[in-house]
Amino acid sequence: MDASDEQLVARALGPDGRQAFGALVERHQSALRATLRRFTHGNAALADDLAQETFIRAYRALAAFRGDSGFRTWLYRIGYRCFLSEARRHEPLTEEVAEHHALTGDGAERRGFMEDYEAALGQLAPAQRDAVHLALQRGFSHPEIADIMGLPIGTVKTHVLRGRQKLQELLSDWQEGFDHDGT
Amino acid sequence: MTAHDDDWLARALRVHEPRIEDRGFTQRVMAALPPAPAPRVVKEKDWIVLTGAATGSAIAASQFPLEPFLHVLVEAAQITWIGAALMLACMAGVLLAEPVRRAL
Repeated sequence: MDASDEQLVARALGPDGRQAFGALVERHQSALRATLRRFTHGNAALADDLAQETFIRAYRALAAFRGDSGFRTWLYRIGYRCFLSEARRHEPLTEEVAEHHALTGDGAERRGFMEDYEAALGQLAPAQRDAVHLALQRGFSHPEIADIMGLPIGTVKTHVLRGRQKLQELLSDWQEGFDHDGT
Repeated sequence: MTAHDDDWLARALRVHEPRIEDRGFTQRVMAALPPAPAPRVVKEKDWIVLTGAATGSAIAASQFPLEPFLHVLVEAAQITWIGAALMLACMAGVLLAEPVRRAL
């Protein structure tokens, strides 16, 4: 059975620390890079730089990780701060939406749905977009998103509720197909 | 809007989100890491200090006559109980004073 994040963190603070931390990077790199691509409007190079910076900062601060929140929440909080400081330096970040599809795996249906999803997301306010992404695609709870984004929980709930409603309206043509999947 | 409505979108997004291949990313991160998390040394020091302090305390306690201390502790506990009983009696007196005055 795979070790949990918390077990790997404990190991990362021990003698074989680098190997354990490497396992954490491998485990989280895909989702974190995808999230940062979302935040940076598909700028893959910038997102990867931010993801690298996130992991380095996490490694430096690992001993201070107390486990109050999960490792993944803590990691994304660091990532979000990296993104915010970058956004403040270079506002506005350039739009490179096409980069989202430089991902592995394709298929007409998948590409079609994700393209519509990107377009629908583009109609949301930035904070709403980020909160919806963290809730729907990453499965974070409202308190975890509040922790990551540094927002009051009430604000997060409003962002997620309204953002999701709008996405469902905009993507309603796809709903029937997913309902018939029976999953 | 129902929970079922909510589910389909989240499910669709998770199913359709592709994985970003590593392509050397982890290696680049590992190569850029500092040598080791420095605070670990502090933790080991703390552990040594705590162990030393515990051992010293155990040795000191074994050499010390405990009986007089226990006697003092018992006395202190008795004094505390007397104080607490007096305080409760005062509070009860304050609370009962007005009803008693009216009754009289």
